[in-house]
Amino acid sequence: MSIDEAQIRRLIAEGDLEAALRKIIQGTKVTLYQIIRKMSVDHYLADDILQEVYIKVFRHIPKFEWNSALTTWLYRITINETMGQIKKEARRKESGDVEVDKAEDASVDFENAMKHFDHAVSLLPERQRAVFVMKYYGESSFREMAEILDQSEGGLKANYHHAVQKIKAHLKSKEIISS
Amino acid sequence: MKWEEIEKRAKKQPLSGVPTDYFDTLEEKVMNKIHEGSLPGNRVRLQKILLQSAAVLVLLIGLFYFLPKSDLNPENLSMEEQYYFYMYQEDLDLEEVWPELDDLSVDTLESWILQAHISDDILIDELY
Repeated sequence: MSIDEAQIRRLIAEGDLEAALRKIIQGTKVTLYQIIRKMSVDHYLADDILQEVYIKVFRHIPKFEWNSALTTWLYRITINETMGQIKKEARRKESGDVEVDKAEDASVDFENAMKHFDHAVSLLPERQRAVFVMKYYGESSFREMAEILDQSEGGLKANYHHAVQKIKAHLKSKEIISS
Repeated sequence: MKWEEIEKRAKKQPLSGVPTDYFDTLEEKVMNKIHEGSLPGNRVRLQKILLQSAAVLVLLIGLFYFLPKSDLNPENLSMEEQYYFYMYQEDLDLEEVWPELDDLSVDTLESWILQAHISDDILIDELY
């Protein structure tokens, strides 16, 4: 994420919330979308969530106290919003599986492997999924995540470890990776 | 395939199903939602409506309390009228009392009851 917090803060102080939001969107849309997308899988759901995130940001940013980094706050809204939406979607995915191509071509193998990988991520419990996605795709530090998710670094490391083990186990069960 | 290979390549895999212009149009979609949706214009409008409703409510309460009361009061009624009135107050069985009403109109009786601040909805309903 690349945002100029000082500039955004100045725009908010001047009352130009729309300009502030535009700066935030421009600097964060790709990263936040990737995180949401990896947590929610479906593009349309991810799109809805991301738009809702920015609307919440717009609503609440005048009250933001700047005690933490703006990016941390954005991550927190994103994760909370995504986990909230995922809860609504979770039930239908529990018994689902992915379509796998049977072709022997290496590129198709990899494509299938990625489908299974994404599916394995989508099967993780919400918090483990959030930790895994933030660490893996958002490249957040455990310290930063501890602030965002309000959880100890030790707990987050355990979550991440469990998430990786579950993904590996899923891929092994599908014979995507060897033991 | 090895886990390390999957792990390394998964990070780089492009996200499927993303429209090519998605990131170019996202900003305007959000801004349109803000302009046309519930924010902030609607919120302001809603606040205005709520304020107007509250003002009307305060006005009505004020009217109720400060308008001069009519002198229709059980204490100002004739002995006969008071008798009927208190019969109503003590006994809600209108079927029993109704034949004794004679000259009293329902409107008059209702007025007395309201003036006496009887808020028993059953009694009021039964008058109709």
